[in-house]
Amino acid sequence: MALARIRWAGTGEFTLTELRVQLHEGLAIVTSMVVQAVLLTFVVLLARSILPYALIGAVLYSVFMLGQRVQNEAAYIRIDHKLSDLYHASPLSAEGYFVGMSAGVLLAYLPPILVLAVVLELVAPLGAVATLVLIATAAALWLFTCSLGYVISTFFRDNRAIWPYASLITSAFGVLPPVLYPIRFLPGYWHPIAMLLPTSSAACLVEAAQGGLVALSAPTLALGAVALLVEAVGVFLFALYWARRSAQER
Amino acid sequence: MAGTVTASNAPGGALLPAFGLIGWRWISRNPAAAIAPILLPFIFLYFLRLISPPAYFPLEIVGAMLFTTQNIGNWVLGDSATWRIETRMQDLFVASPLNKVRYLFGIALSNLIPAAPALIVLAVLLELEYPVSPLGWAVLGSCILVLWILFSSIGIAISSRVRSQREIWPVGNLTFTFIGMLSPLYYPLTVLPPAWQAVSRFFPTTYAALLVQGTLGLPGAVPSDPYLDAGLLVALAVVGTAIALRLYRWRDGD
Amino acid sequence: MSAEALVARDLTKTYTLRGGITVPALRGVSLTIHPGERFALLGRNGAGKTTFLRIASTLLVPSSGTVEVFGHDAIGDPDSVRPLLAVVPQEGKPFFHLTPREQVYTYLCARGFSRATAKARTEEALEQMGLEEVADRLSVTLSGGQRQRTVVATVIATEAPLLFLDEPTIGMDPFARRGVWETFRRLTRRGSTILLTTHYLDEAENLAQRLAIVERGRVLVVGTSESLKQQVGGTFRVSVGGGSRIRPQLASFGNLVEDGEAVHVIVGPERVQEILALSVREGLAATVGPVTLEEAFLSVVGHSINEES
Repeated sequence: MALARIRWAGTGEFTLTELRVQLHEGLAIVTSMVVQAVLLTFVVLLARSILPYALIGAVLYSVFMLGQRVQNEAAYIRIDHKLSDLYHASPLSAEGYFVGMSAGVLLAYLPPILVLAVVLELVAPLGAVATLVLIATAAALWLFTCSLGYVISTFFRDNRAIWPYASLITSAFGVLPPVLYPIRFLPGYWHPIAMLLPTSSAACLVEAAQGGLVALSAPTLALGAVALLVEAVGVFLFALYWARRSAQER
Repeated sequence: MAGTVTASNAPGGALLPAFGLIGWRWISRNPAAAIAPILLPFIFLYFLRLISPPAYFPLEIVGAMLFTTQNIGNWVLGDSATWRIETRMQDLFVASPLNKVRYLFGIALSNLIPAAPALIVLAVLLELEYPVSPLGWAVLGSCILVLWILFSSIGIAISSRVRSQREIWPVGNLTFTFIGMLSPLYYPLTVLPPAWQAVSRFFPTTYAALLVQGTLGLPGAVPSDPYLDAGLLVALAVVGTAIALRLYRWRDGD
Repeated sequence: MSAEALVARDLTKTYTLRGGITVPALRGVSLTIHPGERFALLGRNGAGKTTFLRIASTLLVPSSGTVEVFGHDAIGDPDSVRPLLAVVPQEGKPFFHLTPREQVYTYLCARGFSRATAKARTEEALEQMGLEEVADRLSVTLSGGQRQRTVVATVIATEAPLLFLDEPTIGMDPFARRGVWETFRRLTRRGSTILLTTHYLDEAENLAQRLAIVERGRVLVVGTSESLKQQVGGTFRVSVGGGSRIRPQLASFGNLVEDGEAVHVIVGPERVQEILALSVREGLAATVGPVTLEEAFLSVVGHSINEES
């Protein structure tokens, strides 16, 4: 599928629609940081020395959680409301529907993420380069997670069945790998594997950019950067294709 | 015969097996619904194992068991809200001889079933890490039973006030994850700042944690009076359950 | 103890929304339903049918008024009444992870039936609802009509003395609906009483022995479908295509029901020829048929709307 054939019709309008919908769910936005708060509390109480890592990881974990929101939202609109039919049978492109939904969710949940970023800046200020790397990796992570979430949502016929998968995915990507803790806690042979996961590679790249937080070799860092980029772009392109394909039931 | 205007179905029957079948079918037909409750506590235990002193691990395992039990309340909240709002199945049960307490037990049981494998695996892990006496198992089992009833009641009470499916996740998150965090489930009480310790004393999970940690003699356990802990746990649980059942809106407009 | 299946007196219900906005859903509704009767509630969307049904079936507390079910106080003592009733909710769905057989069986067990009775009744209900072929398929794989039939099967299996059915055949095809109607008739022959709400006027006409039309929280009229048709001023309906341009002349003959450009005139047999002649003179097509419940409904509700405005 050539990039040129991707249609973006209606993306902006649907972004605003989704943003409007999300802003009605104020409680969900406010409570989106509860899990991160719990994990940071554990760190503060039990291992304060790794707090900078945990805070960087919490910001990235929060971005990763956006994919879960997109997954739930897409499934809810399609299964409960059946409104996806209205949008697909319209000038709004399927790609625009997917990207608009992802962007709307991002905009709605940006404030608490920024609050967490401010906390990070107050507790463990990042340098300019590290901040830029944080933004870049967060953007790549957003592409990856929203794409994954949207694709997964299309496979379910029952909202309730999604919840366990959402919990597993966010925990498997966010808690298990070295996102909230330093990679040095893992044996060396796990490092390349950790760098293949988008969440942990993003965290390690930011920590490396900060200087002194992580001691990884240049090839390992390069592996992480390339993997993150390939995964983000690859899954995003697949999601665009899948969005168009799944707009019509077969 | 239906024409006889008496109760065509007396209370009793196979209520618990019926809800048990509903819970069993849920996990037997949804692999993730069976796997997630088992894996999630271990993922968090893994994280805690990495960041905390190794001596705390048995305490963290017990904490995972208690948190898993408490989290059944979150699942009860989700199920009962879904049954009421989306499928409208609760209407069928309200307009029936079933009363709200029996309905609560039914849903609580149907959600205990997916949690049971996790509890069993964690129990095995605990025994391997830190052998537990029969008394210890009895105390732990009792605490799990009490917390199961209490948090299922809280979950169903909250569910009756939720207005849409979208509210389930944030409300559940706020209630159950928050309570879990406030209680010293995964760490000794003394690790908490004094003000926080005082606040945690209002939660039954705190007394469950203290009671089990003390009875098992877990490293990191805070010296406390087990009879007082047990008494306060039961008292808070009874009060909490009573309040929850009072707030539980079985019929719209109640 | 009252002999009536349901007696509702002066039921009112006002919903209070966010911002203090009040919505009066019922404004003093009184109804009596006899044992073994099939009774239908008709009305526009938002008329108050479902609100009435939910109050009567102990699912909703009214603002004021009383409901007795077989002599028991359904508002003050709902537990005394609940063993006597069962309800098909509007837009109900079965548990997606259960099969229809499991859905019905578990519900009966939860209601207190022995396993043997629950099993027997489950099979009978599935057969009555035409679900035998899909009885062991997960409900999530069923069509909308099959899911609805599963919910209905769940409730009719109880054979409760009083059944509340809120739009029970929505989403079903015409064959399925007729099968379900026959099941409802069989239930009332066996002694159950049925109160249903429906938007399908043919369903009300075929099924209900009596019906009531509700509009804006009030009962406008109660009677049989025949008595309702007679109330609208005639037994014949002359439909004049494009008749809106001779509306004043047509209005002089009797009650009108307008449908876009077409006008239906409700008249007695003595005036049919006059209308046909007028139509021919004006170059309009006209057909003649018996008054249907739909015309009666539109006429009754239409008058009510005109009066309110």
